[in-house]
Amino acid sequence: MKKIEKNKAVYIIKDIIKETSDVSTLKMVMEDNTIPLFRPGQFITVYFEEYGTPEGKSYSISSSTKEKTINITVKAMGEFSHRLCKMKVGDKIHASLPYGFFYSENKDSHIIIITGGIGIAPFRSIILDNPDRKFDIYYSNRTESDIIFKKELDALANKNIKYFITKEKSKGHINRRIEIKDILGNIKTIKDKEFFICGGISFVRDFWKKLRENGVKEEMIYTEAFFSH
Amino acid sequence: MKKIIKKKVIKKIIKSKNVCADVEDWVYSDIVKDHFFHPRNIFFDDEKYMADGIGIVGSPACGDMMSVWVKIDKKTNRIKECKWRTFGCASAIASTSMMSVMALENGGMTLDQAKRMTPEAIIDRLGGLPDRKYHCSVLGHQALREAIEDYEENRKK
Repeated sequence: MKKIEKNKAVYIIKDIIKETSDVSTLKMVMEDNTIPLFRPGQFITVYFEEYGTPEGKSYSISSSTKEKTINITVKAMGEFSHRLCKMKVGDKIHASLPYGFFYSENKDSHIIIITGGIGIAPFRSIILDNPDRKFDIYYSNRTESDIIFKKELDALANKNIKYFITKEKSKGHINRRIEIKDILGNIKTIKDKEFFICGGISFVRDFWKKLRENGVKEEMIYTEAFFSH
Repeated sequence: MKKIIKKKVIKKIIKSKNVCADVEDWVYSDIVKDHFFHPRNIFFDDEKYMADGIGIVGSPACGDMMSVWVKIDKKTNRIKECKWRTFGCASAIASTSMMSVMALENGGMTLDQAKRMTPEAIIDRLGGLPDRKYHCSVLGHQALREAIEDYEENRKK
């Protein structure tokens, strides 16, 4: 019998990158200066026990396995995430080892990414770890300044990316929400595609339903959802 | 006035017991109620039960714990039994009950299909769950995934 050992680990913050006005990337190592084994798409669960949440809160890993640090990219939304964003270099974080199943076991499939805001975090890890795989990215944000990892995303050769801006007019981007026709109208066949959705619970639910209504098989859809309010 | 005080008292109790709940807008679909009151495929203590794979997620300290036992048809690589037990809330019970039904219907899911089950598929079949109960549907499919991986590892030995 195998029990899941969500072993708690201690991470030390080595650097903090301010990505946008309310999003920061914490670059961390473990106490022995290594990073734990993980698969891109996984998350770690952070514990601040004084908040009375023994289950902690989970944050997707945004770094690739090739980096020297394990990174989480955090949007300051509530008390918990504000505290994370205010931490300093050298501070220690108690968290779990990497966990989760938001990854493809098919090495070569063409991946369609549908995401919004901070939901891009696990995809940075997934894309950087798969430089030869084909990705189509549909990335929605309220404003242009909310786009995270824009320079890095634009520099990647193995992707076709479309930015959607919903709360302002932004030149060079699509100024509305992502629609299912944007995604399915752009691909010849859904058969060999895997769809990855990451965002708020309703965002993920809505796209999951629309993909299913359009004939995408359940096992071809991967989801990762979080509270966005 | 009475109503307001009552709500405040309930909230205080919930806070003090560290229970995750929303007392204000508590709406369950009829399917959720059915699976909560009549859960399918529950595991009852049976020392003789020999599962092919076992998955456990969560912990009692967190207020929710989920265990799943599976038996696999080795010829077809499909799930033929999917039992479960949880220390969790009504939504966790209903979600896992539905998850077990989905895993077994139409001759049982293949292992590849079962590994790819999502909380969205479970919630859809339940006729919806409040967003704050999303977490409850995650545990069931994680435990199923762990049980399948346990089976696959046992098979290698």
